[in-house]
Amino acid sequence: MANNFFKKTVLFVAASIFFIASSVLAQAPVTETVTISAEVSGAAPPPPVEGGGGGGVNIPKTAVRFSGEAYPGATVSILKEGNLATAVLADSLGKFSATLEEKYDSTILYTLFAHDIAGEKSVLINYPIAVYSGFLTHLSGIRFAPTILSDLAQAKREEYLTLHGYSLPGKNLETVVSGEDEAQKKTFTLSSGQDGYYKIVLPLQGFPKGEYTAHVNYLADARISKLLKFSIGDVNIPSLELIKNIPGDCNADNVINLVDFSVLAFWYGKENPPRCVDTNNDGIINLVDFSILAFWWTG
Amino acid sequence: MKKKILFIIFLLFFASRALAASVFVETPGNVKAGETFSALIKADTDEISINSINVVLSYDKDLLVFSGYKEDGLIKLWVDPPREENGKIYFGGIIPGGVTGVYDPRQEGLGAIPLIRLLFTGKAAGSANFFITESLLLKNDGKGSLLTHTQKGATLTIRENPNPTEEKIADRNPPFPFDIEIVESSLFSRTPTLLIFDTSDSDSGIKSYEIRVGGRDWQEAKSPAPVSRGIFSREISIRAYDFYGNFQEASIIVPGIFSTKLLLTIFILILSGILGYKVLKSKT
Repeated sequence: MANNFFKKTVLFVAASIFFIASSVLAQAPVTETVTISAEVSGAAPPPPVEGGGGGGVNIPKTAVRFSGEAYPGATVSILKEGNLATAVLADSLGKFSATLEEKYDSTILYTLFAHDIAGEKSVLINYPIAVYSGFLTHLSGIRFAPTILSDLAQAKREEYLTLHGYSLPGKNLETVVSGEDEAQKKTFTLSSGQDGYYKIVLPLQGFPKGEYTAHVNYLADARISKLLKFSIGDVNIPSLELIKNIPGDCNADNVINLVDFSVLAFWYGKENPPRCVDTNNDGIINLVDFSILAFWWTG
Repeated sequence: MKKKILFIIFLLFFASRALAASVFVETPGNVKAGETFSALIKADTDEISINSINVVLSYDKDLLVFSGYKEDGLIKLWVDPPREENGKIYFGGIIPGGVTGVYDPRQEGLGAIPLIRLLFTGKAAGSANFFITESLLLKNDGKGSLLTHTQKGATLTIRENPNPTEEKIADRNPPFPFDIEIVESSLFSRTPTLLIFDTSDSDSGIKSYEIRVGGRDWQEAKSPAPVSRGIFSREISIRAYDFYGNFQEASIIVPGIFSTKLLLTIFILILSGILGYKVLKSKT
């Protein structure tokens, strides 16, 4: 009887350990640890009273504060429901903070992005926030993934590809190169300098010819940089700033916005779409193509 | 035997954890007949960033009437604008940049993502059901990977209304003013010149658009609308209708292949040629 109870207990403990381990593994790596808090804000100054005399009523200020890390000297822009609300400069350590005054209780969609000092844009990050009247809501711990550029659009087989960009200063990063086949995936580690700049020369030995993507992220951080597309072929072709080969960018203006969305929407459900709108090259335009466009969205 | 039961319970518990993401419907629980209420469609993504959504919701059309929608959800661009067909509501769209959940200081963890607020009016007393019959959630991973999730409907009680006239709510406001944008087709592009238009309506949502080219009849349209370039410039008008028949109109002049300047230049050149010819002829 005691033996049976022991076995059950062992089984239960083993199951619990398996469950906890699975949950932990499922959650790693984590994206930024954003925390949100709300405190009763300091009262706004009373409105001026016409004709003098009488005192105004102190109305608690409603505001949302964003703070976090981008890149040294980066410009961090905040959009409110798609419209630019403010832009602030990050300090030499890449830290930034911005406060927007609000008026009403509502759930507001804020979109943040950063430009590094070389002008390269980060991915967009959306934060829908429940704003409460009379409270200062503070979203802290925001962290942008590094920016990324390459020297080549096509690299010669067995040669090298250089990736560079900006991140927080003195951070450990990893870059992942992925091919069409899962076996063609390699991870390289690197560190950024004290100015936030990083550069890595990737040896392409062992990679067959074909299409590839590369991205950079902080170690153990699920948020990745923009995906960079490149190919491995017979000759080196420099990466031109003018042509970035972004999926769905049919008008080749290096931005993904409503125009590209509309072109894709025109071909939605139609047969034989042009190659530039078929973002995953499967011959049909469906929600997956819109998802890829939404991922690359620059606005 | 007990071990097996224990193991099955564990597996079920684990499976439910693995499918923590869900699409679900929130309703007020009970309403009066004749009352217009909202059914909020939400997605709990288990804190995974998604950017594309497609949902088919079925409802009891014997007990409910679809009365429109409010765009206070997070879907900002419609691939399939909300439409009703035989007791089913279809909608799909994208959230550029993706979203993981709502940050609410009064809530632990991320809140579910509000997708859209659908409006219904109770027709008769009874127990009305909402079912999500199809749903797609695509991850914001650059590949459009599927996010596995569950679907949860809702049940609503519609009570008799002793004073049915009191709950009538009508939308009397037209949709918001909007602009029409032209996306020119390039020389070798297979995509024609497109007209892009979009607006919203604060009370009942946009039901449809109509287009009128030149002085022709109004026809149903959706953005983007392909437009052929005429010889001469012409006015194109678009009307956006809400679910109560109110409309907002916008117009644009689409330039023709021959602009007024070009025609004037050709005319001047022809006139100059004739005059020159006459001068030369008179000299000889």
